[in-house]
Amino acid sequence: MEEQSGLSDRHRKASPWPLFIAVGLALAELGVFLDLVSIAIGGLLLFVGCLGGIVSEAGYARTPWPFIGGLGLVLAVVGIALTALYPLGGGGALDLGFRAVSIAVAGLLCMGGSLLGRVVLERQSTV
Amino acid sequence: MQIDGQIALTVLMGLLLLIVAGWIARIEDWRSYTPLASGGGRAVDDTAYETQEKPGGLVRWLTTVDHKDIGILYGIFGTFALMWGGATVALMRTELFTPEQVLMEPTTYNALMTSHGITMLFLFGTPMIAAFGNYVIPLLIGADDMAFPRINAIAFWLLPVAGTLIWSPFVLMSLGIEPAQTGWTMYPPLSVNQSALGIDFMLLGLHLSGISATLGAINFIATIFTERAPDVGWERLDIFSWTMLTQSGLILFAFPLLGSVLLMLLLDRNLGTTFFTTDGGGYILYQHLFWFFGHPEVYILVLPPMGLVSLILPRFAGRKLFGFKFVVYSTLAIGVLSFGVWAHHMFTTGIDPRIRSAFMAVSLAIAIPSAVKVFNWTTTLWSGRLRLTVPMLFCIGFVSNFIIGGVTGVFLASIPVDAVLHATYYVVGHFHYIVMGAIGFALFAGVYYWFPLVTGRMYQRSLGLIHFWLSFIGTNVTFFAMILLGYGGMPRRYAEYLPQYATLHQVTTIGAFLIFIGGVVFLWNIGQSWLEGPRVEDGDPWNLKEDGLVTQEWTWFEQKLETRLADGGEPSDDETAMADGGERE
Amino acid sequence: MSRLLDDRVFNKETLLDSTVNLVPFFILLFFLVLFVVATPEGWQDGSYYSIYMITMIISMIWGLLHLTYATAKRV
Repeated sequence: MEEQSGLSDRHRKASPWPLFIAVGLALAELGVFLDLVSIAIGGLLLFVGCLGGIVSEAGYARTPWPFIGGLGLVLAVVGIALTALYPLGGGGALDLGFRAVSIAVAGLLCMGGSLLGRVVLERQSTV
Repeated sequence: MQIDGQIALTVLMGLLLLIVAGWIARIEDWRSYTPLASGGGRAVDDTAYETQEKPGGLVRWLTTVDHKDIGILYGIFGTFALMWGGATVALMRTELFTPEQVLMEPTTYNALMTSHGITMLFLFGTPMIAAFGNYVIPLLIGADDMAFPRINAIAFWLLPVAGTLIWSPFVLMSLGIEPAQTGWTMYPPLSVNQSALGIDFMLLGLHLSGISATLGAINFIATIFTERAPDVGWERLDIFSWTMLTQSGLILFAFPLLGSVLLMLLLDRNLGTTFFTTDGGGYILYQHLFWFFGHPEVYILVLPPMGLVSLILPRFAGRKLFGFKFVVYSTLAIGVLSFGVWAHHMFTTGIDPRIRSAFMAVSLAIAIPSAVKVFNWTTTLWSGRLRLTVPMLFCIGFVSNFIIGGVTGVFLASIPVDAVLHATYYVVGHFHYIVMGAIGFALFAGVYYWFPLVTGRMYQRSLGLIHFWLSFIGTNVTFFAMILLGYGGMPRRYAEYLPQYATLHQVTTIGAFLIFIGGVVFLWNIGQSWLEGPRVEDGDPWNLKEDGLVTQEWTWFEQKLETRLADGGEPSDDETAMADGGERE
Repeated sequence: MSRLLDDRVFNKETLLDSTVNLVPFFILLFFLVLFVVATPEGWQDGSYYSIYMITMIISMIWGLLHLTYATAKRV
C-alpha cells in the first residue's frame, strides 16, 4: 500500500466519473443515431467504463469489472439480436446500417476489457 | 473522402478515449479499489491522508459532487443559455422592426426562433431552477448534501453536452450543417421531412437534457423525502421545497415521455419508421404525446418560481406568508390538474368536440389554484411593512405580470375564443408574460436574494434598480403590444408581415430592447459585484431577524461567517468550515 | 363518511385550508353535470368520445380529491 489512493478517496466531495458519463452517453447516442461507427463504439465504451468506475467508487461493487462485463453482455446481446433481425445491407424491414453492429462490437469490447481488467490489473496489484 | 472521414473520426475517438483513460488513471488510482489486495489496510490508511474535501483549481469544478458547487455550475450554465436566448431574440426583433425582410433570410429567422424557444425553456429555465434547488434546498431542509451527489453531477454535466448539440449547428453552418427550423414544438411532418442535420442534433440534445432533468428530479424527491433534518417535519417544510417536490413529481411523469417521443421522431427521421406518418400513428398522435409532456412542462417551469416568490416576498413584507397551507394545497392541485389540460393546445386540430369540452373544463378549473396564490401574495403585502429591495421589486413585478399573463390565459382556455386567437401573437404575448414576466422575474429575484449567500458579497443596488425598471417596463411594453397584435390578427412565427402591423411591431421591438439592455446591466452587476463587491460581514444581510423570518440557509451562512472570523479569515479544516465548500480567498 | 369527518384528519382547520381545492372541484363538477344534462345535438352518436370526456373529468376530480386528502393527512 505504498501508492496514494484515488482522487475520490482523498476528496470526499469529488468524483472524476460524472463528466465522462455525460460525454460518453452523448457520444454514444450521436454515434448510434447518425450511424457513425467509431463514435458509437467509443461513446459506448466511455459510457460503460465510467459507469463501472462510479459504481465501484460509490461502493455498490468491490471492483468495476463485473459491472462492465455485465453491461457489455447486455449490449452485445441487443446488438447481435438486432443484427439478426435486421441484417446488414437492409435485408429486414428496416435498414439499420452499421448501428446494430457497432452496439454489438462495443458490447464485446466491454466484455473483453472487463476480462482484461480482472486478470491483468487485479493480478498486478496483488503482486 | 468518406472513408478518410471515418478514419479521421476513429483516430479522434481513440485519442479521446486514451486521454480520458490517462487522465483518470493519473488522478484516480484503480488499484485502490481492490481492498483485499491492499491487505485490508485502507481503513487505517485513510485517516493518515490529509482529508481535504476537494481538489484545487479547474479539476475541482470538473469533478465536484458538492451540491453548492453544482448549484453554481447550473447557474453559470443557465446564465450562458440566457445570453444565447437573448441574443437570438434580439436579432429576431431587429428583423421585425420593418415589415419587409432586411436583415436575414426567413429560414434564418425560423432557425433563430427555434433556438430561442428551446434554449429558454430547456437550457435556461429548467437549469436555473435546478441551480436554486441544488444550492438552497439541502440548506433549507438541513441536509448535508443531496441524496445522490454523483447522480447530481451526472445530471449537470449532461446539460453542457446537450447545449453543445443544440447550439452547434449555428457554428457549423459553414460545414453545411443546417440548424433546425421546426419551432420548439417540432411537429411532424415538418420535423420529419426537413433534412437538416441540425434537427437530429437538436433532438439528441433535447433527449439528453430530458435525461438530465429526470435524474435531477429523482434526486430532489429522494432528498426531500429522506434527508430532512429530524426537526423538519412535513408540516415545517418550507414552501420552496414543496414546489420543488411537486415540480420533480411532474418531471418524473412528463420528461420520460418526451424522451420516448423524441426517440420516435429520430427513428422516423433516420430509419424510416412510421410512428407519426399518416399511414402510421398520424400527426395528431405526436401532438397528443408532445403536449402530454408540454403542458406539465409549463407548470414544471412556473411552480418553483412561485415557490421562490412565496419564500422571498414575505421576508420583505415583514410578516409571514398569508395562508401558507392554501399555497401548498393549490400547488398540489396544479400538480394533478396539469395532466388533464394538454389538449387545449390542440383545440383547432379538428379533434372531437367532446374531447375539447373535457379539456376546456379542466383548463378553466386549473386557473383557480393559480389565482389563489395571487390572493395570498396580495394579502401578504396588505398592511405589511414593505421594504423595496431589488428582490422584493422583482417579486412584486412577478405578481403584477403573472396576473396579466394568467388572465389572458383563462380566455384561451375557452374553445371559441381560442379558435379565433390560436396561433396569433396573442398566444405569444400571453405565454411570454408568464415565462419572462413571471418566471424570469422570480428567477432574478432569487439571484439577488441569495447573491450574498452564494458569493459573500453584495450586489450594486443602483444597477439592480436599473435592471428591474428596464425589465418591468420592457416586459409590459413588449408583451402587451403582442397581445394587441394578436387581437389584430397578426399570426405568429413569421419573419415578414403586412404594413398595417408595423407600429405595434416597432413598439414590441423597442420594449424587447429595453429588456435586453436590462439584461446586460444584470450581467455586469453580477459579474462585477462577484469580483469586487463589498463583502457581507453580517450573517443576516436582509435583517430578517427583526421580524423573526430567518430561514435555515441564512443560519448556515451566519455560522459560516462566524467560523471564518474565528479562524482569522481562513477556511479551516473543521466540520463547519468544510461546509463552505473549501472556497479559497 | 362519518369516519372521515370525525377523523383527526378533517378537523376544522384542515377543512378550512383545503377549501381552496373545493373551488376547482366544483368547477369540474359543474361542467360534468352540464355536459351530461345539456348534451348538444350530435353528441349521442354512440361513439366512445362521450365516455372519454366523462372519464377525463372524473379522473381529474378523483385525483384532486385524493391528493388533497393525502396532503391533509400530512400537513
